[in-house]
Amino acid sequence: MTGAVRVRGAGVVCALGARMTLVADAVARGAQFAGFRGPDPARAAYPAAFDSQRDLPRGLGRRLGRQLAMSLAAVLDAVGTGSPWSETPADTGIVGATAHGPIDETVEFVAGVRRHGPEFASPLLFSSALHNSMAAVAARELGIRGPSMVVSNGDVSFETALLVATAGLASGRMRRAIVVGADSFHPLYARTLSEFGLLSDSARPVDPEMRRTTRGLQLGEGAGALVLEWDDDECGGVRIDGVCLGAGPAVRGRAPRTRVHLMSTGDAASARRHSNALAGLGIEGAAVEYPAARFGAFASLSAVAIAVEAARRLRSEAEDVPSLFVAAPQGANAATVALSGWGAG
Amino acid sequence: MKGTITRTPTRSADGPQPIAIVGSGIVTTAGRGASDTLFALGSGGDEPKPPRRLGAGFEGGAPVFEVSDEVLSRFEGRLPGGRGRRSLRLALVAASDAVREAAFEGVVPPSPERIGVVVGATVGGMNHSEEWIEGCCDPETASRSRRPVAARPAMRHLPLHEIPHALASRFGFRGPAFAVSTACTSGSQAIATAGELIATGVCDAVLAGGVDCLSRLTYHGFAALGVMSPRRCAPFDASRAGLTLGEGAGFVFLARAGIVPEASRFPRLAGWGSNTDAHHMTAPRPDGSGVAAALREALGAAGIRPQNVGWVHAHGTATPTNDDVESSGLRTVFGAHRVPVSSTKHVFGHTLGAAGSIATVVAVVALREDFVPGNAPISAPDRACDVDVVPPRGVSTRIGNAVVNSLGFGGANCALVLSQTCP
Repeated sequence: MTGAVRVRGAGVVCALGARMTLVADAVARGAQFAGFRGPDPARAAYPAAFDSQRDLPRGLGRRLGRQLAMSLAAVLDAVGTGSPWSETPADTGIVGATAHGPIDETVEFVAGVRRHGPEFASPLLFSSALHNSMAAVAARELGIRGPSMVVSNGDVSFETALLVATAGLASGRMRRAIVVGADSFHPLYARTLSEFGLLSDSARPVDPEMRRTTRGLQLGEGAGALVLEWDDDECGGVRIDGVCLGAGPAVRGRAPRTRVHLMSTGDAASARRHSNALAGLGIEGAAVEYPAARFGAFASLSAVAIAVEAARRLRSEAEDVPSLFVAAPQGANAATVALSGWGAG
Repeated sequence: MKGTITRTPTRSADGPQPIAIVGSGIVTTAGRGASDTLFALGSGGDEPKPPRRLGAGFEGGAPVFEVSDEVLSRFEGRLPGGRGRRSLRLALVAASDAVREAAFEGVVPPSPERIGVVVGATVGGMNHSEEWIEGCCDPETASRSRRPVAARPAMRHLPLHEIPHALASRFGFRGPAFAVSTACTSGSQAIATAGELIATGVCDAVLAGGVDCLSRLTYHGFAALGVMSPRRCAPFDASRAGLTLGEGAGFVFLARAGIVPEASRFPRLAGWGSNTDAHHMTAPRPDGSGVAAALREALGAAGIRPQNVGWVHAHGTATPTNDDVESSGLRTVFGAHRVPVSSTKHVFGHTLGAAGSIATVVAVVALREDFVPGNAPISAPDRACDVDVVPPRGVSTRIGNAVVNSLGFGGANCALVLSQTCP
């Protein structure tokens, strides 16, 4: 039995904005470097244009660290004003994706115990410091009672969450799945990368054509979310057509009428890996985009890139070519996600 | 294109092939493998002790169950060095035993691209990450260091995916390899997720399990919540005073029955169910409805009626709230059927992300040996926990079908159903 995984909604928090409509408009206008701030280990080169007090309703962000707040904002943006699961909350699941988890809470808890002693350890910080808190916070806020989990798989965490969610939809365990990926900037992490010599010192943003590579990473941050549903009708709508995950090139074959989104971070090694991956795909004549040029380099870059592209398609009524999102990090899983369709989302 | 999504209902008669559990491995404070585990379950195991590896200042604190260095030193292969990579070392030992057992049983190896690795963990390499964070935040430590303190390799261990990637690399598995985190249901959820990957045709076989080592973050965190017991935990006892932390790893090698010769020799992962309470970050929904829903989903998927379940390995952390709520969920589902219930956390401790997978390996051993492991001694029955607790030394009887139940922070519930044989 075949069908399709339909995209019903998309939400995003990134350097270009914290609302899908704003970001999609900015991308449509060709905005590239709106959020670029340049090299500084104390802040992201591409900080998310996000303020939890401003961008989350009813003071929801007051007690949440940046990763948790961004992921909740992206989920709320993707869900919109409707709550189609309110009558069947157990049919909806949520799959979160993150490489580093809620790093604000983790650092604050550990450093707090170090500074003030264990008797002052905060129970709230402890429970929020666990990776699964991003899914738990969203599930509690939206009243979702289906399967809820967080997967962690480095730079392909979001693709992994899509794989798990589509398996859950295909098996019938879930009728609807919210998939959200989020990773935030943290100065401690940036400082470490800097001391390893992995942080870019260039004042120039990532080249959107990737004609020149960066000297190290231009760090970004952000969150992307999709609302997915299984649809036995294979026609129409914005669809996830396939998710491949595993070592080596994940998709083989020729697809000349395809837009390829390469998740290269812009540094020389990453550019070379992605160039090789593109050659391995056997795709000729495809238009290639580099999301890192708009959003910076971070583990949930693909979550933002896929959500933005899904939103663009949901708002469009014109026929478009399929999109392939390709991530080929070194020594880990390679991942490819195929997205197609337009309008009627 | 490879990867086109096809609907594969796992809840209908035309669903996928059964999933055989062809290998298992376990490392706990009780030792390594089935024989050490059975001995500890039969004898009641050792007493917990104050933590030795977490540094100074824990001497008078709540006791824990640690894995001894001697257990790890008996490992035949090479283990990564450094005390910080403890979770990875525990995982490697248990996973190696599971893979070796599968190979010994003559399972037809599918192509490496069709074998996945799913690892459940709550904090993973947190004990190493703590050093990184503390080093970065502490000027004294920083000034003593010869190289920039932030540049220590410890930061690599914060991401949970280090463990599945290392296992995939060690065994040459090239399918999806990733970590699952659902707090204390992580181990069970990893096995459920692995089952889903096989059932939907993404993989032919998956190495799945959970691991967590003791860390200062979890020790101080649970202490801050006021749920650590000053003595060995006593699940379902009226005088229970909280949980006793432990560490360890449990792994199973799952395979589609079609690639397993004489699959009926092996236990089966028959069904799974999971959900979220959407209630509170640390407390379960008081009516136990989330627990009951997960149990019902797992039994429904397995096509097994509650009265045909021979034993429930309960989560049984021995916190007052957990045992009350879990008992309520069990009563809702099993009703008049007085199914035997036991928690083994008085022997292994609460191993957090490993708890569900350790319980699964215990269930596999129990199914093989026709032995129902016992609960901690009940000094005073708790009327709120109206379940039939198994006597401490266990009971020798054929189980048939076993349920592994888990609860976790964030309202996570997960239930697995295991059957004695693969059809």
